[in-house]
Amino acid sequence: MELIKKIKKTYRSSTDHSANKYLMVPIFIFFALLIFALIRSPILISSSGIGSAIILTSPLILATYSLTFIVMAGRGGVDLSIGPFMGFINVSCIQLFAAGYLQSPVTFFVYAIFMGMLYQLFFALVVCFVRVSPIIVSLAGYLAFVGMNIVILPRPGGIAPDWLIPWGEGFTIFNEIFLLMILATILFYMITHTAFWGHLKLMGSDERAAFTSGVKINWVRIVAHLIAGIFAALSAITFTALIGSGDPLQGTKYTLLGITALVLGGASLAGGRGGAFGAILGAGTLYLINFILVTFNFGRLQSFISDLSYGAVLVLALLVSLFLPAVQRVTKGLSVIVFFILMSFAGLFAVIHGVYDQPIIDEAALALEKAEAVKVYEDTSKGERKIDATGNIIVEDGSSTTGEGSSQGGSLAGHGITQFTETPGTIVLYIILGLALLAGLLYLLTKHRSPSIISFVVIVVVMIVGLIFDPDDKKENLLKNDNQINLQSNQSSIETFSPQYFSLEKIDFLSDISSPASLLTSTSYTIILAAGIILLVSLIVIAMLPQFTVRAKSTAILLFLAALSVIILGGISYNNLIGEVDSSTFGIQGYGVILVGLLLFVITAPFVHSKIKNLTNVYIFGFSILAILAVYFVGGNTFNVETDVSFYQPQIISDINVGDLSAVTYGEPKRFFGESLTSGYAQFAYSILFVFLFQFFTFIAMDHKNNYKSFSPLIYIVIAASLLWSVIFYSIGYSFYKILIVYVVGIPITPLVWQFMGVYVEKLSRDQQLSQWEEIK
Amino acid sequence: MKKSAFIFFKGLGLLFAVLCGIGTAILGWYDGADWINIVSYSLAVSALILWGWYHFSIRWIHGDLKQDIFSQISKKENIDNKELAPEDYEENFLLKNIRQNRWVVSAFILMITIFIFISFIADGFFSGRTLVSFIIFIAFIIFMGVIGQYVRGQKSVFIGISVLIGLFIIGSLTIPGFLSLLNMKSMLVFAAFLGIATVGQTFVALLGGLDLSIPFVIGSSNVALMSLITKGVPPWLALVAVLILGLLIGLVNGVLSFRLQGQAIILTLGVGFMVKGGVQILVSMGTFSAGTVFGVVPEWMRNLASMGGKTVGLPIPPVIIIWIVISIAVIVALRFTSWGRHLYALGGNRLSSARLSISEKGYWIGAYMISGFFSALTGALLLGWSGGGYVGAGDIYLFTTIAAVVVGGTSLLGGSGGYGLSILGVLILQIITSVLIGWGLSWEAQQFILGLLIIPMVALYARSPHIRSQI
Repeated sequence: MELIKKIKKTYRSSTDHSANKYLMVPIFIFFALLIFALIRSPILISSSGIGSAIILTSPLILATYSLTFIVMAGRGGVDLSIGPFMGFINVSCIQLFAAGYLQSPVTFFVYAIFMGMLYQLFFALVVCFVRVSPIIVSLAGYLAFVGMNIVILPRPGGIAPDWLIPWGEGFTIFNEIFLLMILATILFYMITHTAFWGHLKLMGSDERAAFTSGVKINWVRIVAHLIAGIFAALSAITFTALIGSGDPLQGTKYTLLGITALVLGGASLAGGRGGAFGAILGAGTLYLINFILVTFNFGRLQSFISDLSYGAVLVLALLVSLFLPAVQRVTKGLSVIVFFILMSFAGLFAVIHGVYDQPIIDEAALALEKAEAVKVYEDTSKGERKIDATGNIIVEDGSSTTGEGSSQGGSLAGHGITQFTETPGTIVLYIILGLALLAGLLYLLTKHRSPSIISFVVIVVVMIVGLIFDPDDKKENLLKNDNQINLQSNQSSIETFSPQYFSLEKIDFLSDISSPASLLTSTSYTIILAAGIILLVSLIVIAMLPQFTVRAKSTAILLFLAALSVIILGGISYNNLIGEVDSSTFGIQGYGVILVGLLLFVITAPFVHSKIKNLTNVYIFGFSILAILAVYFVGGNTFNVETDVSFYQPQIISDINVGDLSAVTYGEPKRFFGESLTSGYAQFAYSILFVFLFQFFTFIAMDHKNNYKSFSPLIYIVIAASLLWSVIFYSIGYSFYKILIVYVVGIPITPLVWQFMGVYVEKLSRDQQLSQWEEIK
Repeated sequence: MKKSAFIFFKGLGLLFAVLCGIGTAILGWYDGADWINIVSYSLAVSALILWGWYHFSIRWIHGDLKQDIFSQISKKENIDNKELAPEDYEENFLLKNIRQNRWVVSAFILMITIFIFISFIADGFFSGRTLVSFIIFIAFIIFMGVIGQYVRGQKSVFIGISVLIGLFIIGSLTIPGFLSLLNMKSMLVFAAFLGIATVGQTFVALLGGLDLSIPFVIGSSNVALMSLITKGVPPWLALVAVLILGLLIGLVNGVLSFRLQGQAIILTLGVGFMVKGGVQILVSMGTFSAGTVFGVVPEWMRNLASMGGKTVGLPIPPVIIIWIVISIAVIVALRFTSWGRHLYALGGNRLSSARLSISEKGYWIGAYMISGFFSALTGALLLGWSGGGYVGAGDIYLFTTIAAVVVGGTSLLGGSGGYGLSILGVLILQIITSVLIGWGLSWEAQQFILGLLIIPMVALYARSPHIRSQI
């Protein structure tokens, strides 16, 4: 036992992530962009969207891995030659293949990896023994390979091997490229757990110190370059799969792209700082920037604006790294992993929001509208309105028809979403997420074995089971139909119907109780209702009252989290067909609330100096949901049904590289709710409530150190947060002046409120002491 | 054996030199060259070979003689030789001496092997002209190697100049018309563009930074100037505006990268992208052209940079004169003003220059502003040369400015080097390019060879010290 403890301790210290604080900024940028991109165009998270994202980013990610090792080795060495070198492997493989060599995949890979290692070995030897600065060697390599590529293959052409071409199609999530990526990432992580990685980091940050402490720096450098060569070769192979042919010029782009991704991923070009995670984030960020730009229509100016924004992002990412020490100071004690998990929750909710939120259509209003403005309505939704596999609305008519593949195996930006696919990738992804949450539940169960947890898990299981065996779906129960469960034979039906397994939107409480067939369902619905309400209320009570023990609070929190997972499942299953919208109990508001609540939480999280054990975060999370609930209901209410018939959901272009985007308009998002909330008094009241709650969370977050002094170093977080929120709020339809008012009122008086509360808390404790004293007396 | 070996080698060298001279004459006659050329080249070849041979045979003989001839060689070395000497020398002094100079010898063998190899694979490569130029080239290297022993201090200048002369010899021997006035003029014009663009890079490199925004600023100023002129702004005003724009971009670069000096290379790249995108957006607004602007360049601006330009009646393009003036000004500024000396001090050691109360910020930003200014100037001059605005005009300067600085011998870590060296680098690059073009190589082959040449050229003198000596 002693030994095991010891091992555990050393393991923990070796994987201590406190040194990874630099990842905070890339994580934040990535998710902010992700959410923005999802709001712009939910196509991103269809299975073809994710598939093409993977195939487009994988060469970049692998190239960035390769660069990471070389940059980590220090001496200011950035491998400028990575792009042309990828091009070299690409064209040489294509030419050799055409000449009859490298026919089997094995020799193909072996050749590419051998060439990669050979070149990098040469590179390392020159750097080590000729002692020329690495950047000059890579510059020389850049020029040499640019020339050599054109000599080998004068113009784009050739055909990749038959087995390689399907890899690059990118219509599904789980393809070979994804597998390759995962294997490469595993390799990377395996390397980071060796002593070599430590030596590399030491050497990169201080070569002299490494030398004097006995690290064999030449060997470390050579090995780093060899590993970089392997990744460069893999990157070139994925690149070949992507373009499906040979191209002497395209690869060259990856030099600048890779370096940009490296910087965006938080790696230091001075050496000693970097990792796989940052590389993935950086490459993803680049992809998202490109994606967002494509959703706008700049016409002729498109490429210029893309230049401009690439540059701006690069500069901003670098400037942000200036504030890294401040970020580290503020987020002291907050684990990067926790931060990432929380941000990915926010991202997940944005995903759900993007895919499943549809305008809430009031049947009466719609009828009225149809009667009054048939023509206008028909203009906006002319043609067949379809729901695709992931719930997006596609308007198909002549002018802006989707899915005309314009670029098979073409340019970087053009490759990708050419059609909506019928593969179950998205659904599989969601099912995996659900299973992961269930696994989390089980983990909690084993870790904290207590009556309350066990009972809650039982409740969850009952609910899910009850939902799966929904009697309404008996006729089409896919689990019993062998033909339909076969994904190959009938994929679309699975896609359309499988979310209904967890359906929450058909809840019709206790109305069907007379029918014996739906007894189980109705019971489980009731349990959901009861459990949800009771859990939430008890959580609030427990959290608010200081008399409860920490243990009671933590249990309540765990229960709440579990309930949340159920809500998420419900959200995922909200496959909201137009006809059934108004029967939903968990529509756009719910998702919006969760989304914004999480954002609020993410912002306040740095206030709390905590690890995952500290559940203060989660309290704030719960509260923020309530607060935003109020705000959202107030803010969303700006839609006038009778005059405006355009919908919140923008029409989606499925082809990224489509030439004429002018047919599509992106309007300000609009929605409408019941009439009762339109009054100005209600808005005012909710705003006040929001301001109050905002104060209260920050009060808790500050851990009772409530004065100006402890607030002032944190004010810029609040400001940055409010900026981000404003964007998000605005994009989901909150009018701008309201946002402004809330912040103008909310932020300046925050310290005042804290002061007041602090005084109140002190008074309470003094009263308590007095009463104790009196008792003693 | 001592004396006899000496005499033997001397005789052998003489024989070899005479044979080579005769061979040169025969080949020259075979090529149908002018008889004056044949005689002079033959004489030059035999004299050089003789000289080199003499030198090496002297170096290989016993220490006693050596001491008489080379009094400069330090005493310690002699003592070492003496201690080791007797038995080794008696046995096989040739092998030992080859071992002592094994890098040089292997380099020569490698060169000869490459030459033979190319002669076999490339049709029409082997001719009297190439053989002679190869021999002369090798002889020149030996000559320079010998001279180099006496050079103290400005070693990199010496190597740079010798490489320059060597390349020049190769070019003039292998390419007909290389020495013509027109070719010289065109080489100088191109070198002037590169040289003016390299001013800023040199300044920045002296502080230990790099400016990758140069090509984008060149392209942007090129397009912006053309666009302004077509929109009716007086050309001189447009030029001033563009130059001020360059200064401002440099200011932005400097201010932003000051705290990020390690990552200045990427930051300037980002700024460059922004500038390129922004200027193109501004330029193409309200027009139908995307990226390229057509228009009429004023005559004086065309005269400034075109090949047929005249300076005060002389048939020298003014851009060359401008480059020379700028060069003199920059060199003087770097060498003789306190500003220049402070720049070196900062590049050498930030801490000690801070102790001398030199403001790092001011110099850093100043260097980047100079860089922006000269990039804009290059862009403006290129407009005169090309006659139409094109945003990709500066693209070739992305790596060539760095290459010129590096090849010249300015350390990228800062503190050593100077614009004089960069001029050397510019000229070397220009001559290499001209020679490669003269050999009929395509652009991609030029790139390839340029890439392969950079490492050896840098390795000649810009090697960093071993880690052991840095501690």
